[in-house]
Amino acid sequence: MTEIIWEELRDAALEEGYFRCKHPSGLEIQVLTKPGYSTSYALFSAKYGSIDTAILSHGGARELPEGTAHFLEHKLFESEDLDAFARFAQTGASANAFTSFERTAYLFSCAAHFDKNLAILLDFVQSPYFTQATVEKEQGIIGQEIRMYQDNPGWEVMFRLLRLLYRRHPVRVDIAGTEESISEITAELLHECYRNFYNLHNMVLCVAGDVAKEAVLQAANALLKPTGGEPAKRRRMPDPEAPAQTYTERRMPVAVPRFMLGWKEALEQPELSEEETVLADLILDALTGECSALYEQLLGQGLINTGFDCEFFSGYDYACSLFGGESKQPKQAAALVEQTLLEASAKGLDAEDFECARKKAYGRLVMEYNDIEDLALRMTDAYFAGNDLFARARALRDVTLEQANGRLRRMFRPGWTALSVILPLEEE
Amino acid sequence: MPQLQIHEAAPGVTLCVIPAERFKTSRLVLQMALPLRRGQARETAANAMLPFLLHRSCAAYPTPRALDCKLASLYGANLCAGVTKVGESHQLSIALSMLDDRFALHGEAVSQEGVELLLELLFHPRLEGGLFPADAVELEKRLLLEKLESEQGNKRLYAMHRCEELMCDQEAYGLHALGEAQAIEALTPEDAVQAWRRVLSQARVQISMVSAAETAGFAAAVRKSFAESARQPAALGSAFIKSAQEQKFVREEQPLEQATLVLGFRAGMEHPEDRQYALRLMTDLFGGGPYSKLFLNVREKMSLCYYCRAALVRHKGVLMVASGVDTEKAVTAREAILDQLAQIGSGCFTDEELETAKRSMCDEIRCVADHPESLADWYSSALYCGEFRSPEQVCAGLEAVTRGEIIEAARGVSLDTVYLLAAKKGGDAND
Repeated sequence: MTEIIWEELRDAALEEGYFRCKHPSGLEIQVLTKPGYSTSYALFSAKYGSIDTAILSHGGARELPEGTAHFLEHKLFESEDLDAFARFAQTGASANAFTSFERTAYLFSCAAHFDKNLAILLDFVQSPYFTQATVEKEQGIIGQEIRMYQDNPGWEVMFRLLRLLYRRHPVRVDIAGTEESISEITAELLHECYRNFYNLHNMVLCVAGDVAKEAVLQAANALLKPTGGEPAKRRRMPDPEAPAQTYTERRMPVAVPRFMLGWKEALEQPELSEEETVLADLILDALTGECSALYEQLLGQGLINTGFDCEFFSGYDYACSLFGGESKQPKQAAALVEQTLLEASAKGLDAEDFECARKKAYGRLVMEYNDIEDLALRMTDAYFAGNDLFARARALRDVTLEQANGRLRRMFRPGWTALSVILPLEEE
Repeated sequence: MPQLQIHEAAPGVTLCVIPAERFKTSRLVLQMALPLRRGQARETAANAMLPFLLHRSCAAYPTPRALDCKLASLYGANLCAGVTKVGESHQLSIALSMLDDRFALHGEAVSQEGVELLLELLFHPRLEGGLFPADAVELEKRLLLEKLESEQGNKRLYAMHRCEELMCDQEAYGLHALGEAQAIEALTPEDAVQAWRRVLSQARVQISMVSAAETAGFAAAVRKSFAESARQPAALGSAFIKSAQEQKFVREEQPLEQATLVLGFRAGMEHPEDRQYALRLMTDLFGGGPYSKLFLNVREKMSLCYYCRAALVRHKGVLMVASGVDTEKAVTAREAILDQLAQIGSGCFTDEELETAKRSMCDEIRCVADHPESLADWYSSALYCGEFRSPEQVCAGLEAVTRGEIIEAARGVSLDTVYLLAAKKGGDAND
């Protein structure tokens, strides 16, 4: 076996470091050891999420039903004899899996038997087992899950907004798909998706906590099966237009109306740099966070409550700012946010507000380093984005007000907004 | 792990210092507990409003914005207020997470400023003519009312509270921790200032700090702050009803895709320590993790629900099961849930299942030590039982539970109330 070369990355200000290597099987492995911790957390992820709606090959693209990545995640937990939950139950670990827009991840956390747990994780993710019968049973279970989300006003307000902002990009589709789309999924299709997206070159294993890199490597050497073939390629899905429709509402059994305002950004490249993302976060916090004049005004006028929040939401070929919360006057709240941001774009940020936002964001980032789950997630995100874990901290320390103002001028184009509202039911 | 330090700072005020060098932040939690009482709606609402009011401004930072900017300048120190019930005690809390000084970019003394700020919030609120300002009180009333209303959008939470309310309609536990809407609407600056005085003189208080920093100054500061208030701490406790008298069945409808079913049981307890390890373990075996009876049978095998979980409220002696079901399968699901409980009571579980529950619970408990927030929360129950048990002590208690004790615990559980929030389809004219 070829010798493994570990690369060490450190950030002196954060007092943290971790190791990474490219395993001969093709898998990227990253380990961050936390002295003094009593638990470990492992996250095994594929770059395959709900936005991956096609398998690309030399001959063209095979379109996939919406919700396939999430469906496959559910099914991988099963095997021919004992499903993954049952195997982890024998060691006491807590295990789970999730699918997001851009990835599928399998994970466990444990205070004991790390080696055994890692072996289970690597084994079950590499052992697909599905038959037509088990696929059909899952269609019922996931159908229930999809309907459960339809009763969740927070979920509804967001996806209804994304469907206005994006006419083509699959970020507009519910991660679990629809009851119709998942009815098209077959065992054969799942096997093909598995072969394409679960190629080890398209995956990463991130471990954090009370664990040494040698233990991770030992399990990897014993269990990883080198994969041949081309790793999956993500399809470009540019969606470069202003929203055609700018308002949607639905009535649900809520007492306070909910709203979400979305501001779409025009992208030149499919992905933003770490700096561009950090700047967007700082701009949003400086202009609409708790310390901003806008927040004080919204709260003072009774247009929001303290659940109001903003988020910079971006990924492959999509980027937008989302502002949402509960409001008795959602249209007025959204109008005030929109007007204030347009004015700020012309005027630029206040230097003090910017420094305050930077300090807050840096402090919150350092706080994340307490949490081994957050760390493994951040390592995974950074790897798939082509960065190292510390890129965000460096960007936060280095970005300038001039850069922020440059970014601000490009972020908010007039007319690139849409508003989604959930209203209470009408009295009968 | 370095030793826990417990001090009595004033009558009914306990300090709990948990040294932990492995973290990059400090966590400071102020818990203030008063008895929750029926027939005192105004007092309950005023108590509920207090921690939010106190954490929004103070004399030194007189507006929410001024305080938020101070927190941001302390590297995004995270200040939260909360209200909850622990059994029939009304717990008001304010918590602060802040950066450890080692990581401040310009050498600021963040921890010390944080401790001072928390004490400032509690002891030096912004008062005008001896009262909380009317605009501040009106803002908190609106926010509290909207919090209460917004629960209606969260079906799991809403159904859980409805079931508690129906089951404990004669007990304080049936009250909502946030108070009643009508009582909140009627609150005045007078009510708020009375609640503040009540807390300073009568609440049972625990201040916990998880930190790598030197904490001697912290203890002294707390002692000094409380030295000036004459304290007569209230007695806390809950009424335990050992078994259900008659069963209640309530069904309500809303235009939803899915129904929520909640079963409320009396756990057979007479006080919070009563067979607590056996009951906690039995609850986990019944409806805890993915190895539990409810998950494996009612969800996986019978496909009757999307989720189905059991939780023991040991400070009140009730056990709640919540489940997401199709309306037409609700009765079948209810019977299946009861059947799983009966099976545990008749010994139909393997030693392997019991060991799995023990291992999983203990593994999860040991994870507590790796988060400053969960570590501080862990010791918060000492305010109600007076004992500071470490995660290891609790694991030892769970590991010692026998098969016979599980069977006995399950047999002592009796069904009290069944609440179904049924789905009435076709309520949405807009879609």
